[in-house]
Amino acid sequence: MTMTLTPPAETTPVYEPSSLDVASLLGANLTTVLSPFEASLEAMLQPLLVTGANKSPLQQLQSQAAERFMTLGLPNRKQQEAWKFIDLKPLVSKPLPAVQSHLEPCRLPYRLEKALKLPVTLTVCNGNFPKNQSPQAAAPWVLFSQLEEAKQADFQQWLAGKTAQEVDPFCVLGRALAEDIWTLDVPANTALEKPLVIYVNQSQTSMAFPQWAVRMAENASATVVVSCSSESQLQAYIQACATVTLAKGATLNWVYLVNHTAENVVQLLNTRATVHENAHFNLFAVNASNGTLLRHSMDVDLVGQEANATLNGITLATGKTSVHNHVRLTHDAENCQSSQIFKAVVGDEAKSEFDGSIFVTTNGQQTDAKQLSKNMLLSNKAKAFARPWLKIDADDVKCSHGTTVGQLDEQQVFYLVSRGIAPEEARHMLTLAFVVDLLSQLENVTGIEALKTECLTLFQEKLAH
Amino acid sequence: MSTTQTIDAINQDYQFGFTSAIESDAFPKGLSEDVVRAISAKKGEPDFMLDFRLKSYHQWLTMEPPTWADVDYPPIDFQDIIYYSAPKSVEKKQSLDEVDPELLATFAKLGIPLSEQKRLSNVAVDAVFDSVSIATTFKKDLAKHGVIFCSLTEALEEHPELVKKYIGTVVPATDNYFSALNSAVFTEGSFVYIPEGVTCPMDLSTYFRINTEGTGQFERTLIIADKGSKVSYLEGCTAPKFDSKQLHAAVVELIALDDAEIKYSTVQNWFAGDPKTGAGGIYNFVTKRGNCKGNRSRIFWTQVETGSAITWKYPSCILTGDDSVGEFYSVALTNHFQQADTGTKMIHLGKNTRSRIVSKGISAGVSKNSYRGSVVIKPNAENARNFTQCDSMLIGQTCHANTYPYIQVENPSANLEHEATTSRISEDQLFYFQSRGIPTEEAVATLVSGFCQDVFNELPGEFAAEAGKLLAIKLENSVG
Repeated sequence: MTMTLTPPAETTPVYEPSSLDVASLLGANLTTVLSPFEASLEAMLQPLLVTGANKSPLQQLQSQAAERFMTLGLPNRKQQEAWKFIDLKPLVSKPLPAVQSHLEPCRLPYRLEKALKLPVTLTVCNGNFPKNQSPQAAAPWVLFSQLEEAKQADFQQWLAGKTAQEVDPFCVLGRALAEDIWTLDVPANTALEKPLVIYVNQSQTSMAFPQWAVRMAENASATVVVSCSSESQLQAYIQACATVTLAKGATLNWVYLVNHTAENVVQLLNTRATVHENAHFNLFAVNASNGTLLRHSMDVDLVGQEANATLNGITLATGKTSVHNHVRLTHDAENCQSSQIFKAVVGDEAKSEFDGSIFVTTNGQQTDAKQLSKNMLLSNKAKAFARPWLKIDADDVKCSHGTTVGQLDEQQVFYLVSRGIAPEEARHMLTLAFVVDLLSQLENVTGIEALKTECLTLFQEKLAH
Repeated sequence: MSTTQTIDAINQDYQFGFTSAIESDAFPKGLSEDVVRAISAKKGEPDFMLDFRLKSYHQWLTMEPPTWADVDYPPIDFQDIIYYSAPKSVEKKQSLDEVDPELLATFAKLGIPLSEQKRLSNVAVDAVFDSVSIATTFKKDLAKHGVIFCSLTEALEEHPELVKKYIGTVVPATDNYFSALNSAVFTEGSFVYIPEGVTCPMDLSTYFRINTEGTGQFERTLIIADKGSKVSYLEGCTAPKFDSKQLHAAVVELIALDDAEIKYSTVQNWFAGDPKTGAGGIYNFVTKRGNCKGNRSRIFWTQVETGSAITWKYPSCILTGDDSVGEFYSVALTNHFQQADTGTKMIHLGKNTRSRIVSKGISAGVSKNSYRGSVVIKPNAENARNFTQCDSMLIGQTCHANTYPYIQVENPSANLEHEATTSRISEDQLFYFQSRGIPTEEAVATLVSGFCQDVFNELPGEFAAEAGKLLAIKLENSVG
C-alpha cells in the first residue's frame, strides 16, 4: 500500500456570516443568551457552515453534516419518543471540552492486550488522531484525506448519501466535527487474518469524534474490536460513528467494549450498516462503563436476499449510569434473518433502556426476525425501560419479540447458600450466569475468543466493587 | 389456497347498513362556549356540571389533536358537527306500546330484544338511540338490589352527589384532546352504581347507535362498584351506513373500591367505510380507563373491535389499591381501509398488583392494525406482576401489522414478561382443512376463531356468541 504522509492542504475559510441562525435552530429562546454548551457548539459549527469554493472532499462532507445537524436540531425529549428517557443534561449543561492536542502514548490496558494478544491498529487518544501513528501500524486503515482521488470520491458519495438520510442529530454532529475519517476497504475474497483492534482512550478532559467507514467487498471478512475507556476523574464527550457496508457474501464482526472508569463521560455511539445479499453483520456490544450516559444507536438495513444481522448487547449498569440501546432494523429484501438479544443487569440508581424496532417493508417476505430484551434489576432505584416495536408491511413473515424484567430468584440464591456459598457471592454467581450464555457467543468469533473471559472478569470486578 | 381466495373470503359488506327516518331535535352545527352552555341547559344540569363542561372546553381549546397514533385521517372540522340531537318522542314510557313504532322496528332489525324476551335472557337494556335514552327496562328489578343503572342525565337529577364525587376522577378533562372534547359536550351515557357487597343480579347492557347524519356521539359512561360488589357490563355497537365521516369520542370511567370487581365487555361493529375506497366510516376515538382504587379490586376489559374506519382506543387500568388486578383481552380485526391503533395501559401503583394483557390483531386488505400498550411499574409497586402477549395475524400482502409496547419498570421486585409474534395465516393449516373437505372461507374463519379463542373465552356467554358470529360475518361468505 502506498500513500503520502502529507497532510491535506490547509485552506483558511473566509468567515462570512451564515444565513443559518445557529441559536434559533438549537432551540434557544432568542431573547435568552446561549447556554455555554450552545455557545461552544456554535463556535465549532459556524466555520463549517461558511459557504465557499475550494473545499476539499473532507471539508465538503463536514459542511454537509453540519448543515444536516442544523436542520435536525437538538433532540426534543417531549416530542421525540427515542429521546424520552435520555437525560442529556450531563452533556448540554456545560460547555463542550476541547479536543486535546497534547498526546500521551496510548495503549490498551495491559490485561486486555494480554488477553487479546493482538496489536492495536488504531488509537484515538483524547479525540486526537495520533499524527505520529505510522500508516504502517494503522494499516489497513487509511485516513479519508489520504485516499487516492478516485477512492475519495467513492467514499464521499457514499457518506454524503448517508448524511442526507441521517435522522440522529448527534451522528451528523460527530461527522461534522471529526478531524478526519478512518476508512477500511477489504477487497473481494479477502479474509483479514487478525482482528483489528481500535483503542479509544481519554486520559484527560476532552472530546472525541472517531469516525469509521468500512466497505467489505464480495466475500470479504473481517473482525473489528473497539475498546473505549477513560481514566480517573475527567469529563469527556465521545461521539463515535461506524458506517459499514457489506457486499454479497461478506462477513463483518464488530465488537464494542465500553469500560469507562470516569463517571463524567457521555458516549454516543452510532452504528450504521447496510447488508447486501448473503452477507453477515454481527455486532456485539459489551458495556460495563461508569460513564453517566451511554447511547448506542444501531441502524441496520438488510437490503439483499438472505442477508443476516445479529445484534447482541450486554450491559452492566451501576452507580448513576444510564445506558440506552436503540435499534432500528429494516428488512428490505426477501429471506433475510435477524436476531437481537440485549441483556442488562441494572443496579444502584442506574437506568437501562432498550428501544428496538424491526421494520419489515413490503419487500421483506419470508423474513425471520427475532428480538429479545432481558433485564435484571438489582436495586430499589434501578430502572428498566423497553420499547420492543414491530412494524410489519409484508405478510409472509415470522417476527417475534420478547421482553422480561425481573430480579434474582431468591430460591436460587437460597440453594447456593445452603451449599455453603456466601450470600453475596451467590448473588454474583447468579448475576453472571444471567449474561454468560450470551457472552459465550464471543467464543465463536475467531481471534477474540479470549474476550469472553476478559468480560466476565470485568463484570465480576464491577459487581464486587 | 391462494392469498386472493383468502382475501375474497373476508371481503364482506357491512350487513347492518340501513338508516331509520326519525325526526331529530338537533342543534345547528358548530361548537362554541354557547353550545356547551346550551347543552348543559337543555339537560337541566346542576351548576357543578356546567363548570366541569366549561373548564373542559377551555382546556380543549388550548390542546392539539394527538399525532402519535399510527393512523392517518384528514383534519376534523369540529365546527361541522352537530353536538346535540335527540329523537322527537322522548317522554318517559311506561310500556313498549308507547314507543315510536319505527324506533322499535329499528331495534328489531338490529336484534336488540327490548322486550319480555330480554327479561328471560336476564339482561337489562338501556338503549341509547342517538343521544337520549328512550327506554330502560329492569329498573325495578335492579332497584331491589339497590343497583342504580340509568342514563347519566337521570343520575345527575337523582344522584348528583355520586356523579360529582366520581366524574372526571379517572379520566380528567385534561387527559387528552378527545376526552377534553367529550367532557365539554357529552350528551348522554350510562351510569352504574353497585352498592356495597352486592353482586349485580344480571349483566348490564347498553346498545349504542349512531343515527342522525353528521351527529358526533359523545357518550360518557361512569361505573362505580362499591366495596365487595361485582358487576358485568356489556357494550355492543352497530351503526347504519353513511357516507360522511362520523366522529365518536366517548369516555368510559370505571371505579372499583375494595374487593370490588368490574368486567367491561365491548363488541364493536361500526361502519368501517366503503370497502373499495375507504370513504365514510366512523372515527372511534375513545378514552376508557378504570381505577382499581380499593385493595383487592379487579377490573377486566374485554373488547372485540371489528368495525370503524379508525379506532383509537386504549382501555386502561390504574392499579392503585394493593393486591388489585387489571386484565385486558382484545381482538382487533381490520379489513379493507380500516386503521386501528389500540391497546392498553397498565399502571401499577399498589403493592402486589397484577396485570395481564392478551391482544390478538388480525389485519387484512390494505388495513393497518397496531397494538400499542404500556406497562408502567412505579417505585412503590412492590411485587408487581405483568404478563403480556400480543399476536398479530396477517392476511394478504398489502396489510400492515405493528406492535408498539412501552415498558417502564421502576421497582426491582417486579416480574414482567412480554411476548409478541407476527405471522401470516398458516398455509399448512389451511391445506389441512381443505384436504378434509372444509371450504376455504370456513377454514379461515375457524383458524381466526381459534387464534382469538383466549379472548373469546373471557367474554360473557351472550357476547361470546355474538363475537364469534361477527368475526364469521367478516371472514366468511362471498367466495363461490
